[in-house]
Amino acid sequence: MASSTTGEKKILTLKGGDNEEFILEESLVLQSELLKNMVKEERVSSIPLPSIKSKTLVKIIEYLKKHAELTPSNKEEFKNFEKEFVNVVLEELLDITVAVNYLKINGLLEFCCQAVADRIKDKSVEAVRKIFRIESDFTPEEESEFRKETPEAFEGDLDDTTN
Amino acid sequence: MTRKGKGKRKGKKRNQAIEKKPRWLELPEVIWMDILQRLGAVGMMLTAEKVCTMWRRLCKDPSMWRVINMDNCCDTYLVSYFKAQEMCRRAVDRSQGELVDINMDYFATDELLAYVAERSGKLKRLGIACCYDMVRKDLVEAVQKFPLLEELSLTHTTITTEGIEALRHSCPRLKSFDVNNNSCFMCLVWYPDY
Repeated sequence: MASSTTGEKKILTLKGGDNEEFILEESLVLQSELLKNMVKEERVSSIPLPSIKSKTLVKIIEYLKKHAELTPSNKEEFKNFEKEFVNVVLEELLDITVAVNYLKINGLLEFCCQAVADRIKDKSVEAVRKIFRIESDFTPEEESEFRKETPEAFEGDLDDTTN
Repeated sequence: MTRKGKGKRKGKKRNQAIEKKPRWLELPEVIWMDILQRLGAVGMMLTAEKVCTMWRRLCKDPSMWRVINMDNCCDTYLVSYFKAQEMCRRAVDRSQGELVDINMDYFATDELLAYVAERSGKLKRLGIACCYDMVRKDLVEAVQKFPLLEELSLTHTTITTEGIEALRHSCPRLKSFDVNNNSCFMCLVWYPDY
C-alpha cells in the first residue's frame, strides 16, 4: 500500500548560524515541535536556524540520533550519554538550553533545565553570580541585609568556576 | 596611560554589551521558573532569591510554591530544625493557599502541621518522614483540614494502628496511604529511644 514511502527516507537540511549545513533524515527532527510544524505545514526541505551556532546544532543532532535509537535494552547506555551530553562548560550548556527551548524538544529541555539547576545547587550566592555572570542589582542595603540574614549563603564554593 | 586605558575599556565594554549579553538572559522567565523550582524550597530561599532581583521576583511567585519539597533539607543544606520550620512557614505563606503537595522530613511538629492545615485547603499530597513527636489526635485534626487530600505518606513516624484507622476515616478522598514504621537507620543513631 505504502510502497512509495516505506523505502524512501525524506532528507532535510538544517542551516546553522554560521551557514554550515547539516543533512539529516526528516524523521529525526520530528522530535522538535517547531521543526515538525515547519516540515508538516510548510513542506520545506531546508530550514535556516540563524540563531543557533553550528557547534550547538551538532550537539543537538547528536542527541536526536541517540534518542531515536533508544530502546529498553540500551537505556543505561542512553543515560550515560545524557550525563556526558550536559558535561560541558556552562556557557555551552546555556547555548544548548536556549536552542532546545527555541526548537521545542520537550524531553531534552527538561533534562537541560535539571542540568542548569544542578550547576546552581549547593553553591554560594557569590559563586552562582560568578559562574552565570550575573551582576547583583540589589541595593547595598538589601545586599548587606541578606548577608546578615544568611551569612552561610555567601560563604564557600567561590572557586568553583570550572563549570 | 590612565586615560588611554580608560578609553580602551569604554570601547571594549560597549562591544561586550552588544556581543556578549550573558547567555542566561536569553532564556525566558518561564524556563527560569522551571530551573529555580528544581532547587527545592530551601535552595530557592537560601540562595537563588539572593542572586538578583529577577530571580527574587520569580522565587516569590505563588505558583513556585504549589509544591514544597523539604525532604532531606536538614542534611543537604545543614539547616537546623528550627530554621527549617521557619522556612516551611514562609514557604506556605508564599503559596497563598495554592499548596497542593508538601514533603517534610525530620522537622515537622504538630504546631507546624496545624499552621500548614490552616492555610492549605487545596492540599492533595502530604508526606511526613522521621518525625517522632507528633501526637495522633493532632495529626488527625490537622489532616481533617485537607478535604482534598488524596495521598498521605508517613515514613518512620510513631503512628499506631489506631491512628492509621482514624486517619483513614478522616480523609474521604484518600487514594494512597503509605505507612512505613520500620526503623530508619539514621534515626536509630539519633533517636535510640524510639
